[in-house]
Amino acid sequence: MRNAKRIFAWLAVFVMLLSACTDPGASDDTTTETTTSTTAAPAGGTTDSTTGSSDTTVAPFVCDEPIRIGVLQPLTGGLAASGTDAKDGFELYWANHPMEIGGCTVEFRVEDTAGNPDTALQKVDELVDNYGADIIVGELLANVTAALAERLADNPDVIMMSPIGSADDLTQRTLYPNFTRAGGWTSSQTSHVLGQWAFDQGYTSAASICTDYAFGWEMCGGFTQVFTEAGGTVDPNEQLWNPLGSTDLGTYVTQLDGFKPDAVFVLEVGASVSDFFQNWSDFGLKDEIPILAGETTGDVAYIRNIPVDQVEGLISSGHWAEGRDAPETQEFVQVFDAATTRLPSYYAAATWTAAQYIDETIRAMNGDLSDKAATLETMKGLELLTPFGPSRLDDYGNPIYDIYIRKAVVRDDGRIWNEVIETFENIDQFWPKTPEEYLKQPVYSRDFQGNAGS
Amino acid sequence: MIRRISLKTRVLLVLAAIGLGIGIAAPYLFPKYIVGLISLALIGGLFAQSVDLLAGYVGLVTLGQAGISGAAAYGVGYMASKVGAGFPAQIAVGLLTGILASLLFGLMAMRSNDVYFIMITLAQGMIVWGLSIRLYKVTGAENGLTGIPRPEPVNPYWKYYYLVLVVVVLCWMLLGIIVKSPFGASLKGLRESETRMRMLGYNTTAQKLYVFMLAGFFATIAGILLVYLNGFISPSSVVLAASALGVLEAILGGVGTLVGPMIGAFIIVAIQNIVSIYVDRWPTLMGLIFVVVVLFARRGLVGAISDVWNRRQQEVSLEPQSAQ
Repeated sequence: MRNAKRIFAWLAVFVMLLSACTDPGASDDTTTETTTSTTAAPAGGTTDSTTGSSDTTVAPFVCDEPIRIGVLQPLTGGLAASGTDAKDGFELYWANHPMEIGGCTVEFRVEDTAGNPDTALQKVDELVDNYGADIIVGELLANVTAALAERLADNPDVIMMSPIGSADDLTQRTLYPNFTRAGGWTSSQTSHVLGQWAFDQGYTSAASICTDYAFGWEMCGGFTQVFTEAGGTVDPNEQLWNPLGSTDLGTYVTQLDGFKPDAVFVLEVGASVSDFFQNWSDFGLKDEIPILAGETTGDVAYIRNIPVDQVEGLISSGHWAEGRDAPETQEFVQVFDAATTRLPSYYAAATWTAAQYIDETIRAMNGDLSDKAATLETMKGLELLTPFGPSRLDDYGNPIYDIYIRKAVVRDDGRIWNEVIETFENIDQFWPKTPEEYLKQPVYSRDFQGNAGS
Repeated sequence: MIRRISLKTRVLLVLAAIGLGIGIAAPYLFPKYIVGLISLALIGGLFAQSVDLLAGYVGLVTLGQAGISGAAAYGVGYMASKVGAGFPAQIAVGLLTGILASLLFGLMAMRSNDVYFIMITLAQGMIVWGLSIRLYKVTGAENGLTGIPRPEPVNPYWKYYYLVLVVVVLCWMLLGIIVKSPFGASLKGLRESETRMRMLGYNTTAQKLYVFMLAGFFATIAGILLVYLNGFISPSSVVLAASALGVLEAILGGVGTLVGPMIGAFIIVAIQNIVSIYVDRWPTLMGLIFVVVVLFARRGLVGAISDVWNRRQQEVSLEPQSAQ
């Protein structure tokens, strides 16, 4: 009993000692300590160089600290293949470009999120506080990207870039001051164009099948709105929604056949993509009803794993076309192919482009990224020739690209890729509307597809 | 007098004191990132304890507990980001949705046992997941709900950490009282033989509902703590894997103990967040650890340690006898 008392006494002493340290004053110290330590790591060294360089504006590119970039992608779990493409794209950019920019060293670290927002939020804290990241590049999933943007929203010392996560609202109705989609896209941006193109082809009615989640709604909505506003019709009852991860789409395919539309818009992800094309050709519809695929469904990451006869000639729209006949695209394709023996998916092109944006921004800022707001402004002022083609950012931080209508073609070496059959130049995320007009409508959902006919 | 407290209790007390000491000192010892991880592990531990209350003490393994904590988190998130209500309303709605979910799920599951209970709770968890995906006006679908700030007094990460620490320790003590109480003893009876308990006059169905709701209450607390920690809730928090993680943490640490799930949660958070920085194949490592624990320490790490301890003690007490 006495021992127990002694233990409790020790415990009490320990707690009291601690609480003595935890005086209000002391705890204030911790806050300042932690805030300085958080800011000191990324900005401390560079702040000195700011003051230095503002005095002597002629002596640029003085970096006491390396510029640090944290990359968050899912490298394990169901999205590992796409996440690895994204990682490879980013690493290959820096393997092929100097990481010493006028005396400033660029460093980066790639972390695995496993596609889990909880993990991603912990990792981003680690990257920002311990590693001292100036820029965070991530993630693949919309919800993880949103979580990261939210977490970093009130941290003025970090810039958040999302080259892949494409949820419309991140550059539309939910804006964060330090967020940009340089190298990225909004979901509906590419399907808007496909809607117009479909109408131009003379299709008057369309049905759709999209995966039943936010990305599918946005992709489908983009197509439906522009197609119907141009004069086409989409019967809302002929818009099918299959659950995420479905792997038997046979019943949907027979329904689509029954609708007898002029064309079908398709947005599938993951294992559903190959299943859809399998069923579509099993039911003998490949040469009956034209398919218009959303960007990811037609991406080379998916179609390279599908029997060629099922997808050859597939029409899709995208900001990425690995078969685009332009040196800025083909250089990247060759580098990526040589290093990985894969034709690059848009995931790889996106992170490569994000790295290119970072590189050019560092040059334009003379290596001094301490003022993140100014850095972001500089980034928004850049006009780059990227693997995607010409790219610049709109006022909302989303790129304005050329959007391509792509056709899946078998190359001489037997591999399939997407070649450009038509280009829509300078397409922003609101096209063909103005931002003001566009932002009056809600974000696309199952209930709001922007259908002009209903 | 000294004899009354066994060596084991003394060791446990010292360990508890060390644990609590580190817990209190953590914000002074570790950087923000680690403190965040400890908060996450504490919340995960409370969640795993709530799973263990069912799995370890009543023998009912649930695969839907994340549905309950998720319902609470979505309640808070909806009030914060869609309604813009104040914190009392947010927390009240969070508690309400969590407890309502556990009442509903409890009513559905209370008559089942064993694998049927697992199947029903699995379905319940999937219902919440399905709703989180489909009711986009309430839940924001895949994109989840953002814009859930912490209450101002506990907004800095280290203050929030202390809040988490206090709440988790209080819940832990409460759980300790529950499992030591006559009610807790009757729960073990339920685990050993439900028919016998019914013969003794216990309304076992009602008992199961009570304990399900109690476990749901602690899961609700964990859900509310987590949503404020992350400032964010999305369907990833209510998927089957999130529920299964609670079960795995409990098994890893040791079912039927309260400290086990907490240790399990710390180990898993450490592997997910720290080991994964250095090891690319960290999920494989996690899987290997589970296999090893299931093969060689059926009662989890805590069970294994206490077995080794008891064997040592027996040897010590036997030695003088054999000498005689």
